Amino acid sequence: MVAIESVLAHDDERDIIGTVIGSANPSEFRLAVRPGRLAVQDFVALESDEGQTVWARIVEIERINPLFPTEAAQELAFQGLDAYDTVAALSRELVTAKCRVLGVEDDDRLKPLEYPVRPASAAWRPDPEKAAELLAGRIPEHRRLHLGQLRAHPEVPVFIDGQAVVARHLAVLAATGAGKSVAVRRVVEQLAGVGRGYPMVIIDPHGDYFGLSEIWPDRVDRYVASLDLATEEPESVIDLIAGLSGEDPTGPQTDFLTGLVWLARRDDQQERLNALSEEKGGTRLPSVKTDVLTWMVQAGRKVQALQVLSAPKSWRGYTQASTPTRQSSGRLSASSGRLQERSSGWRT
Amino acid sequence: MVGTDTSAAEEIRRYPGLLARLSLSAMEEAEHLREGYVAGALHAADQLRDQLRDTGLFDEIHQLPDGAGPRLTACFVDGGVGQVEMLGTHPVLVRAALFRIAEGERDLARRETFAFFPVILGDLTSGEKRLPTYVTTVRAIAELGALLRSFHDHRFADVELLMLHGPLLLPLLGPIGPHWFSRADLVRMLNDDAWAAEVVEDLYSAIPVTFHHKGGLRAVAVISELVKRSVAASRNAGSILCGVVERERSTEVVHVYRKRLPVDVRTFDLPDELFTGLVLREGEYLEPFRPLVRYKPFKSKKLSGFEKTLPGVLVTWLKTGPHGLPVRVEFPDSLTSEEIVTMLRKVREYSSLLPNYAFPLGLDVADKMAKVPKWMSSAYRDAIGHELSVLLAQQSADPAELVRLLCFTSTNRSVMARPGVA
Repeated sequence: MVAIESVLAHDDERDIIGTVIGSANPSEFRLAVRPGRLAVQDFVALESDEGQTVWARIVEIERINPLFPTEAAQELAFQGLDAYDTVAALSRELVTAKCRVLGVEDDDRLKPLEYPVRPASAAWRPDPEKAAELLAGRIPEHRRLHLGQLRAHPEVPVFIDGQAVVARHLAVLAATGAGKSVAVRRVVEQLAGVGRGYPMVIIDPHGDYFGLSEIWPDRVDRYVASLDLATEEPESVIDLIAGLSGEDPTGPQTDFLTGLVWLARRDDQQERLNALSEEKGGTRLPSVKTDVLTWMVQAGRKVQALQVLSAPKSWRGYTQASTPTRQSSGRLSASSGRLQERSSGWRT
Repeated sequence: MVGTDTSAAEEIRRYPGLLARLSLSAMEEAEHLREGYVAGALHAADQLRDQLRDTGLFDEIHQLPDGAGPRLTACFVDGGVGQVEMLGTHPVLVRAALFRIAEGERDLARRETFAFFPVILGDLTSGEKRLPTYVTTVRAIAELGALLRSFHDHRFADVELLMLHGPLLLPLLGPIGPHWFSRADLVRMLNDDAWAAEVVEDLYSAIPVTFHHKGGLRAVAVISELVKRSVAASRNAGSILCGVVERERSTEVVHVYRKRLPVDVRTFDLPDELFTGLVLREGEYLEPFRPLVRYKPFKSKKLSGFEKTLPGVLVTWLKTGPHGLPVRVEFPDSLTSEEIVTMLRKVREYSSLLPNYAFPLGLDVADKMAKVPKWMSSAYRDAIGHELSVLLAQQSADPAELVRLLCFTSTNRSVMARPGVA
């Protein structure tokens, strides 16, 4: 009896919002949920057979009214009637949510789930603080870059590891309008924010980061460049950037910029892309690889803007890169002299 | 009274479903009679409405007013049977359902109410389980019990129209005579609570001893009493009660109007739904008449007189839409003519939402709710299977006993019990 009361008390503390139905596998399962209680991207938690907490994220929600025949729906439309004015049953919807397993909690980390969750398991809404803790993982506080909050739970902050971003590579891939630019802008803000101030060069052909100079008017030097990389020597470009930041690029940075200019200088690159584009009927090429190449060529052939974030004196870095020692003044030092300074506004 | 704007043959040409049903009816005739059945029926149908006008039957066909009736709070009642597949198909569960709905109400919590009343057949010990009508009888009592309960449940206090999926009186006319139920079983069928116990006590007092059997009550008397009490309760509550039946195979209408029908129509022995399907147009209904009570035991000296104590019920046939065949509607004879028109308008209005099925949507909802879901049937199957397996594992029963056990719990003959050939 004591055990039963204990279980009930345990369940009372949990906000039970669904039950596992159908077939489950280690990466996905489906919940029958209480209508209106969950949204896509919400987190749910369940108990594994071993008593550990399984975390999952809702990726899809379906609602169906099994008591509302299609024939009746068509007739309502035909007669111009509102279902509420008829005897159609509207309160017995079946709402199910497809959940993708994030992992099973083990020593404050999520590990892959190796065995499906038990059918008929109860799912509950996890504690937001716990969710935040798991989302931050074991990232030390000083390395956390605050990306934002969970859409469904504004009280849960989302972090990524700054060291991983800076010391290695980061690609942000998503559909148009999904928020890639906003996410990258947030990373930039965090990296350049107070107490961090990591120096950056942003090659920004679309002007996505134009507003940074409004946020940090004294720390962002904005230039509108008219620089044809196709005719520029790689060394000139590197010198130009070095002149902007006052620092020598690191080896990998030099390699990247050299490669960029090399790509832009190859006349056949653009011709090849044009040919590919014509093959596709003149439409935008769909593959990621081609898009990247397109971007590189476009960005390289006609760089329209360079934004340089200057480094504050109290810089705390993430990488082995050397610490900048002076603040950029906005002075141009490009050897070609074709880079033109603009103090404000945008010139096309 | 209605006019004869289009011929029956034209109607058939417009709605092939009727022709298909006529063809099916022909298949039920002896082979030598099939030839010419459809052609003959079509020919008869072509002239039927004109001929009927001469017989005066048209005076007894009425047209409902166009448009929807007033907004009501309605309650729909139906029952379902859950079956398990285990060495054959066995019914294990009957479930009655109530679906109350307030038309026009936008607050879902106030708009709709559902209630369920399950009866586990294995819990019942009386009655004649060997007969195939056993489950039908239990289902009828469970449905009527749910219907009567709605008058005593505050959640259904605002109901203005009660619609039962099934007849009010017809169960009494079927072969349910052999069935009887003990006091405990009757309480179980009425949902096994204090209210049910009280109702069963009342039934024992009200039903004549002629209908007491082995300490229990005969089903025919129980059903009759439950209908009478529901009718009285509906009158007290000021609500309208009716039963709506589709796929009715009776030949009552032709029998009632037999002497006034043309000879060739009588020859075809058309079932009521086909006959009324040929005669009625959308929105038309027959003048209500008293159903025929053809239950043979009532003719016996022992039960004579009981027939007169049956609830007063009238019957009509209504063609709810252009596509489907008419439905049979039963209602208490105490309804006023305005109430009858209101009720039939609502039957038609609710059916207009299912034009192909031509049956009230609310009853379709109740039917789906009453239906025993597969997972529940499967759970019973697994539970029974587990129990049998344990018996076998404990060697407390040999396979022959298990088969007998299955046959005992089932209401139909099991194929396993069929005698083999040595």
